[in-house]
Amino acid sequence: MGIAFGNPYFLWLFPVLAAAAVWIARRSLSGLAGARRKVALGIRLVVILILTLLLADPRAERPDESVAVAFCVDYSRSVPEAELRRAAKFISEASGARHPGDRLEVVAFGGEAAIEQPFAAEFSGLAPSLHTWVDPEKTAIGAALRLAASSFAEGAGRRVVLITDGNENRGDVVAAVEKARAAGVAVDLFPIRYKHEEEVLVEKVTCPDHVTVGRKFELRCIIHSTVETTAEIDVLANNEATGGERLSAALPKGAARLTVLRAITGAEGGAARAEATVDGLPLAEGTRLAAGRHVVAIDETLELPGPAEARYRVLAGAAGAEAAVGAPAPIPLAGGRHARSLYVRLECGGAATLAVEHRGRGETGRAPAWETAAGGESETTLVLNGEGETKATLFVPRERMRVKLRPGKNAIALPQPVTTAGLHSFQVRIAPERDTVTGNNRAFAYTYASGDRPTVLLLDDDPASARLLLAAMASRPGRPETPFTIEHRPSADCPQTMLGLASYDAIVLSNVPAAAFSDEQKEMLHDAVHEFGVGLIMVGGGDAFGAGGYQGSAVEAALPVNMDVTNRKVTPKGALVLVLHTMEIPGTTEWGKRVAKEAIGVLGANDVIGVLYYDARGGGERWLINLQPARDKDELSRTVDDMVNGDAPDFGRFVRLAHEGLTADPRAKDAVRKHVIVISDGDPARPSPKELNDLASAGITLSTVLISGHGQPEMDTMRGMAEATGGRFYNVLDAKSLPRIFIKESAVVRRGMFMEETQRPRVADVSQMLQGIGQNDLPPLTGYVTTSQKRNAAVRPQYPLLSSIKDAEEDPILAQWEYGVGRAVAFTSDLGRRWATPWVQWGKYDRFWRQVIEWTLKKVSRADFESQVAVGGSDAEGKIVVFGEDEEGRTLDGLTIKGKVYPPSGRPAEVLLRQTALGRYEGEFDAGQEGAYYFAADAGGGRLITTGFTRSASAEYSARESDERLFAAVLRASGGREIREPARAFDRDLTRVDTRQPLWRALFWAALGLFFLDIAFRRLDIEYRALLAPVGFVVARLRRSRRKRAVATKTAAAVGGGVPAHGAAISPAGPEQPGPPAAPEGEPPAVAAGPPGAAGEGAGAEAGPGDGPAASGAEYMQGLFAARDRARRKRGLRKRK
Amino acid sequence: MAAVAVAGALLAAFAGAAWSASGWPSPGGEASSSSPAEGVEWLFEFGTRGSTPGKFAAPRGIAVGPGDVIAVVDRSGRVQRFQADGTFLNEWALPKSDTGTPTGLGFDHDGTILVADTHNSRMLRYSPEGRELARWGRYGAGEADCFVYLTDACVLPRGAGSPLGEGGIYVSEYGREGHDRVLGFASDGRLLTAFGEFGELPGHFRRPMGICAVAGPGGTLLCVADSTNDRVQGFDAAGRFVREFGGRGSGPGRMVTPMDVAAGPDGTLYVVEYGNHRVQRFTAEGRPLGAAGSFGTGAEQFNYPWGVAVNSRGVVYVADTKNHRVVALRFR
Repeated sequence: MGIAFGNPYFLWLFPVLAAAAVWIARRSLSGLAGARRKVALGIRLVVILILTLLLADPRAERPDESVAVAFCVDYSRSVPEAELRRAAKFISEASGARHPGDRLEVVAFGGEAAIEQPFAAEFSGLAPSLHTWVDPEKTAIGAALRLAASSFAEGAGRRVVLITDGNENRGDVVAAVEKARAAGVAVDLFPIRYKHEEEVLVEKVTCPDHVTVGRKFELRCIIHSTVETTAEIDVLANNEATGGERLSAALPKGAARLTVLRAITGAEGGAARAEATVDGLPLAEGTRLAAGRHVVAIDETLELPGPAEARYRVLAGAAGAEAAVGAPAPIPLAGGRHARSLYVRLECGGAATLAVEHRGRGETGRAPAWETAAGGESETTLVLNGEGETKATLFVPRERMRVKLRPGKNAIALPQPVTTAGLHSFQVRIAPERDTVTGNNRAFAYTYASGDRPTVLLLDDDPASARLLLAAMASRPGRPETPFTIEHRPSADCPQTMLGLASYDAIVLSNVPAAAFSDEQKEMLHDAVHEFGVGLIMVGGGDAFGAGGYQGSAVEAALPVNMDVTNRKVTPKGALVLVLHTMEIPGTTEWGKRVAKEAIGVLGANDVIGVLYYDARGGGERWLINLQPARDKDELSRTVDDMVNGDAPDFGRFVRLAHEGLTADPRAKDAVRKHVIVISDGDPARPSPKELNDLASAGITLSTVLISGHGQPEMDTMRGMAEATGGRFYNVLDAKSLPRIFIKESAVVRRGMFMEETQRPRVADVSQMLQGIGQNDLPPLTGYVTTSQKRNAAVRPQYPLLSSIKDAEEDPILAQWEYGVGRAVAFTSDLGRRWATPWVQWGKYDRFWRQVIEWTLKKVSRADFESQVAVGGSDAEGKIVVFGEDEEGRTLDGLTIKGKVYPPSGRPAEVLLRQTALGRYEGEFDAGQEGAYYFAADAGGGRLITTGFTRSASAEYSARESDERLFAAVLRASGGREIREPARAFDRDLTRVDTRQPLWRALFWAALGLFFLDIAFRRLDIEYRALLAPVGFVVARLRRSRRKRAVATKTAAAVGGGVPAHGAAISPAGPEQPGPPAAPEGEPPAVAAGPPGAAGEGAGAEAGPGDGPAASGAEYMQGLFAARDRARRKRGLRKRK
Repeated sequence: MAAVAVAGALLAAFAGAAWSASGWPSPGGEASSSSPAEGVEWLFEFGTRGSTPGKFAAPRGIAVGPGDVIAVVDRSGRVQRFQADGTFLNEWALPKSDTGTPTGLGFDHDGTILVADTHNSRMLRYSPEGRELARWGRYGAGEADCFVYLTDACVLPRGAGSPLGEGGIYVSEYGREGHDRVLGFASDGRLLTAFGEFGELPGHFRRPMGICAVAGPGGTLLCVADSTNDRVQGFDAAGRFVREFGGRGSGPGRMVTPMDVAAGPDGTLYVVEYGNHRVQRFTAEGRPLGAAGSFGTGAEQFNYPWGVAVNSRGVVYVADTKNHRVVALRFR
């Protein structure tokens, strides 16, 4: 082991300090005796030496030892799968070629790096799928290298092997290589080389920013190809296949005809043939059809010499009086053979006969098959004679376009129809015959279509209620034209994307509860109003506003009223009792607790809550939470969490306790609505009819939630309980349905929010919506949901337009406000099914709703802002640049433009556009995902900027081959090499330096120890001889016993008798023996002459045989004198100090 | 050294206190009466939590048969047989089911075991070795072989003169309108009679559970633990109401949710109370004679017990359900 010094210059300090120490020692150590002085000085010098060494930073250098290798593997999409497998095999082989002690690590990387397998001696191969996750859409080789370099432990040789194709698009690997090299990490390369010979990719798709509904436009698609091949092209609009078109016609009773006129244009020559079948069977002459549904298929076979277009026209109606039904968009066809089918669905009101006729260029045929030349017109006619009316629907499927690709750039035009207004995204997909990488075969584009008529979406789950509004808005002679179209959908069909919502001009929520929407949808509804200017109208009913559970939601924020009625002096309160019993199946208790906690969460602070359960701690049926206002919800939730539920034998007692509480407890008995929810597995015995009747007659409803019931009897028990009291029964099979249940059920309690009294609303303010409608025109309402007007100085208007006075409170009936870029309206009664029935027959009903809806329609104009969006090179950052000019051509400056970017999936992000030049504003956003993004910002004054950006497949897919130049650059910067043999990965030709902590520590403790030793040596009087006494003592005793034996033999021989044992203690064995054991000077044992051993020896009365006084006398006296002298000397010395 | 000793002593004291303080606090509400120490002799207990032979997963049904053999059913769907001292004999599993497990069983004179397979709405008869001999009943309503929840079964003593014939079986049932009653089957499973309906009046039932037969001066008395009504009812073999006793409460003679009733060799009745965590002894006329047990998981305590059975020597076995054991005791 060699030692190197980090700061060798400190070593020069030693002679200097040593000399100084010697000079100082002359004075400070003068008190010591010679030998001791030398030793003291020596110790000091050693301490100084050690301290100097420490300052010089000693390090041990080890020759060749173990090696730690980190393999960085590129998991980005540009690396083909087969190459990854080869890399895994390489690593396994390298691992097998290791020396003992070598360690191995695998770092996976893509857009970022993660340690897939940390340093370990064992390596069992790369798992087929990663344990960690890295973003495969980017390649950041530098990040991987940095991570690997920082993960090495001290003490081993360090090498990083980069396994990549070199297609870096994030960060700079060469800089990272240089840093690693400086830190002593060797960087080598195992390159992944490939070249896609045959590759077709879609570079981009473009289309105009704005189009008009009803007019066709073109998508232009640029395709790169390295080879000559053909490809099929598919276009998805708004993520739906543009599969085909439907046309409907009504065929009257009696003789009727439906004709499909076919014109193949653009190709001369070729052949066409058509056959018709009905319900799969060939159509013979006069096939008899029964009433009901039948499908006629018209199968066409076309052989075309070149590209062409198929145009169809459809005529239908009574024989001799056919009218045009429509014309599907022309279908582009490539040259070659095509088999196509058109379908006609006939819904016959009565029995009918069906025949088919084909007519071609001048030829007529009645035979099932027919041939003619292409390039002309032909027709196929269905001849129907029915006893009832028939509805016919024609379905024309779209042809998948086929194109020929040449090597290089190909530009393809794809015509597209647009039928609805709003933002549309298009995805173009190609399927080439010859291709290597398929991930780059698609691209996106978007456009904004403006229609001539605004569209309103009506969400209402009651078709009868929806019909009331639809009928009022339908065109009728004598009624002015409704300036918008209205589309009705059930709430479950509400659009799930921002794109879908923003394409409407207004949305009407008619009696839809909050539970019908996910949290994301609620936020999108809010944003649709605030950012996109879509109008929002909430119409009441038993499930809307507060009773619908909207409190605290994003939708509430967008409406002009608050769900919680806080301004009332007398707040109607509800009382809810929860009975929690879920036992046997693990997990069900947790569901039950969740329902309970969520139900508590939705109650108002004035509502009363009580919770019953069966105490597992022996007490049977008890109140877990006594009836009390639902104020401290956290505390209540905690109590529910802590509940330990037992096995309840019977429901009856719970029902009785709930009834007693809700009717007798002063806190609950004055509640307007009383409700009980039983959550159970259905096992306990059912309550008696009387117990349930008591509930019903007290106006208490009971709902049951069955969780994991065993079977039919439990369901019957729970259902029966709910039915007896007019409550609801839920059979819960999965946890996802729980939230809807509790919102719905708790809303029952909040039904205290209804006001059900007949009253004529009062006109409280003037408005556009009420133009031509005066106080005397308004019919009475029989009920509404109570809400409170938002009072905010910034909000206009401050008062509802229509209101109702109750308990001296003004309850809004109709309220409006502007919110963000849009407008929102609340109408707390309903469309006429329950509470507004007198309004349905009212002559001005349609006028009222028309004006209300019209007022909320999107009023935003598109601002005159030109916008551009781009994606920054290697990082997926999007940049949006907007130029603004006013009508006179002057730039618009000083604006604050705040907007939101809606990515293809996930939450929208806010973007702030800063002014960077005259009329120019810029902002950034994260464009990591593939797909269509759109951006909406309010430029002030009701002007909305919308633009979009489509990010096609990640940069990874455009890589067609590995990057040799990057390989060369990396090797140059690192001085490393390309590893071809797996065994070379663990080569030992590495120089390393490492610090050895133990050296430092050992030296430090040694110095400290010596330092104290130095002090001790100088300050303490230790009789070193005394320290050595035990050794001497043993030696002396050995000697003495031998001598005594000799003496005794002699004496015994001389005396011939017993010898007194006494005297042994007093006879010192030799000159080494310490002083008298009596120790009259009283010295403490540490300093004193003799170890107790000596005294002990005396006390022990070691009677050696023949230990006679004669042998010890003179020696004894001598010893005494010697001891006295020594003691004197010591005292003298001590005095001097 | 002294410090160590003191610390050790403190530690030991703490540990001892914690260990002996185990068990739940006593239930709120009325004071529950625990055993008068003089009247009850606690003998032994057997079984711990588990689903292997000799272990229980919430034992609910227990019965004693010829030779003082004990049979227990638990939530794992097993029937286990033991000797009178708790020595395990054999076990077998009921046909697997998702709907639930049996809650009661009874012995026939020949040692065969009749299991009330509660949630499967059927009766199963097994040989002592566990071979299935017969089964009857299915879920349904209204038809002769359709039942809802069958909870317990008992066979009258020989020569008791039951209209069901020798070996006739009485089974308690609840669960649905028209199915809260006692059923009488012939020995081969044919339904011969049924009596009772839902309610609180004499002869009505709300969740009848345990059923047993006790010989008395007036003949054989069929006793039914009417659990939700907190009482035990007695009928004659023809199903005519004779008497009831109990009533909700925790004092002597009162009961909370009696789940099972068993007859002692001396004609006394033993009632196990789920809600009071005890077993109570009565004369056949319903006069209370003593009680044993209180809520807890330790000695002389029960935790929501479901079953009770008595052998020919008067040893009372309680299926201490939530403590997953069988406790044996005797009233003096």
